[in-house]
Amino acid sequence: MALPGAVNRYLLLMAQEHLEFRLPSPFWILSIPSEEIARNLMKRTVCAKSIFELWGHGKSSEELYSSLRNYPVEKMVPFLHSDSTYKIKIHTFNKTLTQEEKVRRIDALEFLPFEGKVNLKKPQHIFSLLEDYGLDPNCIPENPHNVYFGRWIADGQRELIESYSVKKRHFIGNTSMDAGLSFIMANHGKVKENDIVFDPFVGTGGLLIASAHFGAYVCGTDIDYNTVHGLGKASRKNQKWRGPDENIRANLRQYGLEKYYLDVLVSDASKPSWRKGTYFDAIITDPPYGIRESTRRTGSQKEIPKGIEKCPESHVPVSLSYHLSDMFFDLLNFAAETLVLGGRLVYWLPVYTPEYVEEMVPSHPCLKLISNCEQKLSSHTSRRLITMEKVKNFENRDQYSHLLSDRFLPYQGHNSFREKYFSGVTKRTAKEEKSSQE
Amino acid sequence: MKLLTHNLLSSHVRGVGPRGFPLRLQATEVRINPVEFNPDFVARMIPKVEWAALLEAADTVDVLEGTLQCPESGRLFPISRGIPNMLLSDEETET
Repeated sequence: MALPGAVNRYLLLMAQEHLEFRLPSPFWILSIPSEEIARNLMKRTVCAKSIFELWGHGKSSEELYSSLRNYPVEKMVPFLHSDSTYKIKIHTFNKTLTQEEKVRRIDALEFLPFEGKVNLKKPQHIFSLLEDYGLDPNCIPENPHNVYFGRWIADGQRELIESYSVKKRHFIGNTSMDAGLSFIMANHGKVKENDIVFDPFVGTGGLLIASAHFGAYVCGTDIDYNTVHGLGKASRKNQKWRGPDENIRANLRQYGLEKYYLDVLVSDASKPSWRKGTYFDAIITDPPYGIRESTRRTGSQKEIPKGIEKCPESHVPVSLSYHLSDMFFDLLNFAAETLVLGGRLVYWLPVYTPEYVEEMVPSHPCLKLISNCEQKLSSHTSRRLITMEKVKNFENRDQYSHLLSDRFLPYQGHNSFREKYFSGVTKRTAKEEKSSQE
Repeated sequence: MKLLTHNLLSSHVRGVGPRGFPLRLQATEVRINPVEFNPDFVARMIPKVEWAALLEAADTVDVLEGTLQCPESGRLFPISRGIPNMLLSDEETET
């Protein structure tokens, strides 16, 4: 018979970042089948700080102590015996305690059968008392809402955000994805060793770096000849032109990941030049929305507008009219066709928040929506991180395209996302002024 | 450009269809990149690769300069600094 407390309960402490992606409280109690699984989870997450084996939990210190008294002693003893060393850490959320208050809390735990020696520098076991004082920094309660005690198991991968920071990266663009979000995308894509990960709007390849970090082989395409070749104007302040070795391969080399570089190509995502087959394990991408990078597809010689840049060796005109809804239509179809079964598509969908409804998220009969997380960009716009999994083999492109065009209708209004984005700052205020005068 | 990529690419010139594979590879500058043997990756790629095309192209390893030619229409796609350029104008592609 499973006794209460015989379940493996863990406390996950989240970082206070990308709050829209998760439940509000940074403290999560999880049931995880084994400590090994808990450790593996922490090898991937950039969103969580630490995980603890939960020994006790209560709404007050008294509740915590009685909960700890109910925790089976045989589960504590292996970590408390006399030839072990330990330390106890106090972690408070939304409040700072004095040293004296901390010592008092540690002393109050005396009833636990600690027999080992305290070692603050290199303890074998670390125990943590965590106190949650809520989320409102302007209203900090006297007593915590929740108190937890547990044995520290592992930390997450927060340091990757620093070590892969765009600030220190060799080759970047105007819209390089922040390192933390790149890792979140690779995790949503379930990227693992020896996968092939593809980015059809590769830009300077920031998203590929996170996948390569997890041992996947990476490739990408971009319509912009200069970006792919690392030519043209630099995105960095105080630097006018890109240096000779600013390219995606050099970026991977900077992190010791060059062996995971497959290739990058100059290619138009709306006209993919890949043979039939399923070979990508994940497609992870940040399509251009036309705000800081334009949405483009190749056009015709007849409609070349003047002043559009020329590629040195191939004179393919680039037209500026690639509608956002067409772009996502192409992207979903491409993913449905080339992903392996169970493979994932992870991308950002820009939305104009006052008009957003869930039905707008493009769908495809071969792809199942896994998650949809919002990141706010401005008061009226946001982008949503969409994760889809291929659940059905792609049969016939034409068969779906008709169906798809209906399904894509709700997003069509977003073709003018660019105008809406800028109207949020300019036109809107003008309109409001006008209406208040009337 | 690597052989593996060559194996996944196909010409998308209008009217070519599945006859656009494999692209004919002409290399003027090739680099041999010794890489660590990764048996797990190779095992995963074996079922995905088109063998005839791989054998045909296997003389070259990592192409720095050269061209890819559509076997059906003859259209050339240049490779420069290791990066193939697959762009086509609207008139040339399938709609």
